[in-house]
Amino acid sequence: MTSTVLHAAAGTPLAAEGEINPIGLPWGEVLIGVIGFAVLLFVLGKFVWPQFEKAYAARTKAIEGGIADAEAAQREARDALEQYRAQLAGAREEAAKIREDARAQAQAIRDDMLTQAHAESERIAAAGRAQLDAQRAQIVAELRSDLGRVSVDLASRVVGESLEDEARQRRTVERFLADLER
Amino acid sequence: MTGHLLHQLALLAAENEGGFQAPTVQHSFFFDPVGDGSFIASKKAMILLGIGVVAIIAFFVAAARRAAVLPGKLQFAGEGLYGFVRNGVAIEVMGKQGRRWAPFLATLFIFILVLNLMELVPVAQLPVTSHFAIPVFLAVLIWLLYNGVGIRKHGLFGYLKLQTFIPGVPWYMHILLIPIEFLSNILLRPFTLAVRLFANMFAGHMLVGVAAAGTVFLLESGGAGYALFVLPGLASILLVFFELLVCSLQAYVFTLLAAIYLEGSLADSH
Repeated sequence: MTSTVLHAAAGTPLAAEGEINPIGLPWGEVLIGVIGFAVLLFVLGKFVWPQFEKAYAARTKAIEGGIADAEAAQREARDALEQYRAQLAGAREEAAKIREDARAQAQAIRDDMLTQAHAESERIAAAGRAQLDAQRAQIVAELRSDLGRVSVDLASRVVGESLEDEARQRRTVERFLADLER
Repeated sequence: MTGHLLHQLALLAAENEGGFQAPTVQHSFFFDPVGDGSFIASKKAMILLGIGVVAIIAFFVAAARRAAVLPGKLQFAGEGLYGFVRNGVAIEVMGKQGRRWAPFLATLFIFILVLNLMELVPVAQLPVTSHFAIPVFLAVLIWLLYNGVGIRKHGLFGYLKLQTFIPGVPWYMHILLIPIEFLSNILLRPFTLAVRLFANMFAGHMLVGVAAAGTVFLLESGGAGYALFVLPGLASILLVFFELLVCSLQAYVFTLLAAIYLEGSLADSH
């Protein structure tokens, strides 16, 4: 019955009795199918699929190894860069410090020299002034005694009056000088 | 096979004075039975099965011999086929546990694919899977496996509950749903699995056969046939390409469903 239906469906009018049912199950075919599939399962499962898995695993490992290597190299490079940067920053800092020191030193030297020069000039000036004062005092003293004598001489000559008298002479000179200094 | 078939047809055409006789099932599938065909319905089909198994083994053993990190062409092809099932079906459908099933599913896929493709191999030209015994055996194997692993994992009751009990449904719906789920998940799966593969290969072979027979018939009948033979001729060529698609697709679908059934049995919840 089913066979007839299937034959009709397949467009075959020659569905005679005694033909093989297309949905029958010849047990020899089942058996051969089972054996074939079992052999395939065994052989491929033992010799082929594990090999492929091994190749996959090796490939994955190789790729992962490559990635790990690359990562390590990158990390190393980054570290080196970091180090260089730090060194550069250190060097810059050091240079700045040196410059600063030099500037400070220069300033100190300049200040030092300036004070020294000041002191020197002060000293020279002071010495000059002292010398000047001393000379002046000396000159004044000399002048005073000279002037006293000369004026007494002059006066005694003019007045004709001897001013031998010590006391009078002194007084006169003093008075004159006091007038002069006024 | 087609040669044999065409010869028969030519004879038929001559005998029937130009009336077209489509090739019969007997002529297309069971032309060389052992005895009455209850043991082996076609010797050729079984020989092709053997050749297929040997060819598969030869190819893959050669492909896997070196298992190099950098594969050669042969290894690449073999790995490609295995990887397609392993990654595209087993792991895709079953997740992590799919790797354990990849060898079985890959073997299943290759086995069905090669037996299907026997339909298109010159001289062979008979899909072994169009012999009902093969799809039935494979479907029964899948049925035993997915029920077996399900029962082993969840226990008989737990497994039946997993397959038939849909959570989150009003209780009275279960009166309807449990029998339906049982029917579709436990009883009907092997039938649909077997019949889908068998019917596709059976019908495809018939289709190609009829088109080829029609071409020869028109050529031999002469007259207008010389002009008209182009139509079935073209159709038979296109059908071969179509069958190439069907062969691959059916092997894929069978393997995919097997993986889905196994996954369903191994799942923790519905």
